[in-house]
Amino acid sequence: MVLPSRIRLLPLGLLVLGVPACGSTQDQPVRDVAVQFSAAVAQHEGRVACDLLAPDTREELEQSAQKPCAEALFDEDLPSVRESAPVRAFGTMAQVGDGSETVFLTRFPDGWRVMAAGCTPGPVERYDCQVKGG
Amino acid sequence: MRKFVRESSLSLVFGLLFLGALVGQAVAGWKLFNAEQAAEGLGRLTLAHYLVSADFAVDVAENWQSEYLQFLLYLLLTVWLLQKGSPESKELGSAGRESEEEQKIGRHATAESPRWARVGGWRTSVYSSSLALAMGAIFLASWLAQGVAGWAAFNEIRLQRLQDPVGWGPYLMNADFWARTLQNWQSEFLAVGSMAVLSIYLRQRGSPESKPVGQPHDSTGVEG
Repeated sequence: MVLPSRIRLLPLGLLVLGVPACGSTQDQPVRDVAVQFSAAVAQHEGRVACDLLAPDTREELEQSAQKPCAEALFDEDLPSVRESAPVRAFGTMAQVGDGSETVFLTRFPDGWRVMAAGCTPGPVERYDCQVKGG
Repeated sequence: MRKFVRESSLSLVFGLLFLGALVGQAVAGWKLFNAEQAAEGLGRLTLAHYLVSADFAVDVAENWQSEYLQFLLYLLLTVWLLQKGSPESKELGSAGRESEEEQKIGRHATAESPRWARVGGWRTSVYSSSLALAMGAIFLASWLAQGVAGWAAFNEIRLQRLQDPVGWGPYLMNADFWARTLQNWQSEFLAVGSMAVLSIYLRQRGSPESKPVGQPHDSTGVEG
């Protein structure tokens, strides 16, 4: 779990000083992937959108829909993520958006990927998502 | 060099043990973290990234804060609290900060006394509590580090579960923060209490932490 950029494990004193300091450098890369995914879905660019899904999420989508990801993805009416959507990143996980346009992302060695999309607040403090991993 | 090693062997050995254990903790924690990530279909970290992760930071910091709290309380409470028969205690009847003569400050300081013990004034006052101040400062800093890193690690797990992250203030009231804190505190207090009591009746020949083997059980404040 890599700390958000604003919270790094520096020598103890620097860690304490660094807590209230500089903004997160992970926010923009996270937002970029979420917006890129939304745009790909809106423009029916199935291959681009599916490449931005986490492997488990893609596999789950294909298994439940019984069709390739690029086709299955457009069975879901996924809302778009706006470019000004708030980002909350902690370690290898991030959340973009709020309300009905929330997307969850996870970080792999080659970059951020969408773990769950089309998420809305559920009844038990947990989001219900139209697309998510197993 | 040999003289230095011989005269500093205690700190050198514990320093090496600390480094070895820290390296071991880092490797074991890294492997465990990546196994859990793989099981959830999430990305894995290199060792370098794991060393700057919230997961590693909170595991280190929560242990550090309790160790320094243990020593802080041990230093302060042994000024006033006594334990009959224990070498961890001062002699019965000697509770308190003791006289200037006993503490070798003021006009009772010698030429060999540390400078801040000789000069008097605020410097001597500060120096008189410098050990507790240092322990207390490290305790607070590492507890703060635990609070920050624990918050980040806690929210990372919440996001994995498709839950909203929580703010830092609410996290400090959360069971996760207090469970981590108190599980460490209970073991530290148990260790000090055990040492204070066991050393009344048991011995370790040659150790300054023990009474001499033949010293009576009710003999207080005597070290081997």
